[in-house]
Amino acid sequence: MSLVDDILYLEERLNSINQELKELRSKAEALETQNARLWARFSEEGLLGQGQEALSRLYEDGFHICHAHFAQPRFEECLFCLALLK
Amino acid sequence: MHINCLKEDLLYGIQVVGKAVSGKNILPILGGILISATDNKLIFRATDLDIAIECSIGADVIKPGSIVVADGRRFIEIVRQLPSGNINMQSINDFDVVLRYSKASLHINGLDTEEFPLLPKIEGEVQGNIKTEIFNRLIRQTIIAASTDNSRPVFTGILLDIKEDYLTMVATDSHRLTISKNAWNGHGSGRYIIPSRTMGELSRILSEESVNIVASQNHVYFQTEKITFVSRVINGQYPDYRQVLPNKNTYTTNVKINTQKFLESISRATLLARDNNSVVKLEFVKEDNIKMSASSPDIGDIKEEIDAVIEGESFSAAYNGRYLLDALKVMESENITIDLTGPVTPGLMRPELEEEDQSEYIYLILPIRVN
Repeated sequence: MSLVDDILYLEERLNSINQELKELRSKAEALETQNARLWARFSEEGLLGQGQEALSRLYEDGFHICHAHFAQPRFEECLFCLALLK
Repeated sequence: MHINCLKEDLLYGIQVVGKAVSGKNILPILGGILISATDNKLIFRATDLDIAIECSIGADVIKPGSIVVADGRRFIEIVRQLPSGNINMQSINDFDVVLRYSKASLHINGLDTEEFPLLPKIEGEVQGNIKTEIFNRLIRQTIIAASTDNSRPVFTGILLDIKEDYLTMVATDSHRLTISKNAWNGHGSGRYIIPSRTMGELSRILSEESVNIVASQNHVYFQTEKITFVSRVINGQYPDYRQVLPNKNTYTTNVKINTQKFLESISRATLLARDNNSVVKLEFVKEDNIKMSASSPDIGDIKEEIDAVIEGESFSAAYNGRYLLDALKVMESENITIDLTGPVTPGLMRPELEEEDQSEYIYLILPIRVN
C-alpha cells in the first residue's frame, strides 16, 4: 500500500467516524429535548415534589431513605439520607 | 528443625503473628503458628483466613525445617513466662517441638506443616510506599467513625481510596464520616474496603519506618522489612462519600477554636450529658465564644463559655458529646476549624494545618435533634 492509499483509507475512516458522531449528536439532542419536556410536564403535574415529599415524610417518621439502609428504622440522623433530601 | 534464639525475639515474632491466630475451632490448624527456620532467620506465620501475618526474626539456625505449634495462643503465654535469654528449639517425633532453657525443657504438641495455609500470592497493580507514622495517623483519624454493626459489612470497614499520588482513608457509620488523605509514593488507582478491626491490629504491630502496600481485587498486602500482613477485602460498593460533604457556599458559620481547651470542656460536659447520645448543646455566638451546656436529671448540669473566633450567623445546635470527643482526640493540631451549615445539617471539623502540609483531614458530624 502506498502513502496516498494510506491517506485515502484514513480519510474514509474519518468520514465514517464523523457520520457516526453526527448521528449520535442528533440522538443525544432528541433525548435531551424529550427529557426537558418530561421534566416540565412532571413539575407541572407536581409529580417530582410528591416523591421528594414522600421521602422526606418517611425520613421524619424515623426510617432511612438512603440506598444503604432503605426502609430500616432510624435511631439517629443519617448523613446519606440528608444528602438525598438536600 | 533445630535453632537457638533469644526469648525476647521469639516472643516478639509470635506476638506479632498472634493477632491472626484464629479463636474459632473451625479448622484446628488455624489455631496454630507455623515456625520455619532458614538462612539464619525464623519465620512465623498465622492466619484466620481473614488476615494472614508473617514475621521474621534473626536466629542461629542449626538445622533448617518447619513446625506448627498446635495451640498458638497458649504457646504465646508459655513463651511469655520463660526466663530471659537463650532458647533452644528442636523438632521431635515429626510434628512436635521441645524448648530447652536454663536447665529445663518443655514439650509442645505440633501439627502437620503441610496442612498450614499458604500466604496469598503477592500481586496487584496498585502499589506504593508511605511512612508508617503517617499511615498510622490515617488509620487513627478514620477508624473512629467505622460502624460496629455487622448488618452492613461495608460500613464496618475503612475504605482505601487510592488515586495515583494520594492515599485516602474513609470511614462512616452514617452518623459521622471521616476522611484522611495524604500524599504517598505510589501508582495506580483503586478502592478497597478493609475491615476496621484489621486496620486497628495492623497499626498496633507496625513499627518500622515505612510500609509498602500492594492492592489486588481480593487482598491488600502491607509489608515492612520484617512483617507481611495480608488482609481480605470486604466485597461491596462503598457509598459515594463525597455526596454528603456540604457545598462551601452553604457554610453559614465558621468557627476557629483551641483544640485542647475545647476537648477539656467537652470531656467535662460528656460526663454530665444525658442519655445514651451524650447530648451537648453548643451555642455559637458571633465573634465571641461558644456557650456549652449539658445536663443530666440524675447528676446535675454544666454551663461553660469557651473562647472562639466565630464568623457568620449565630445559632444553637446539639451534638453527641462522644462523637465530638472522638474527633478532638485525633485532630493533632493546636487549633481546629468548624464549618457549620445550620442546626440540623452537617458540620465539618478540620485541623488547622500548615499550607505546605500534604495531608487533609475532615470529620463530618451531624447535630442531634432535641425536643
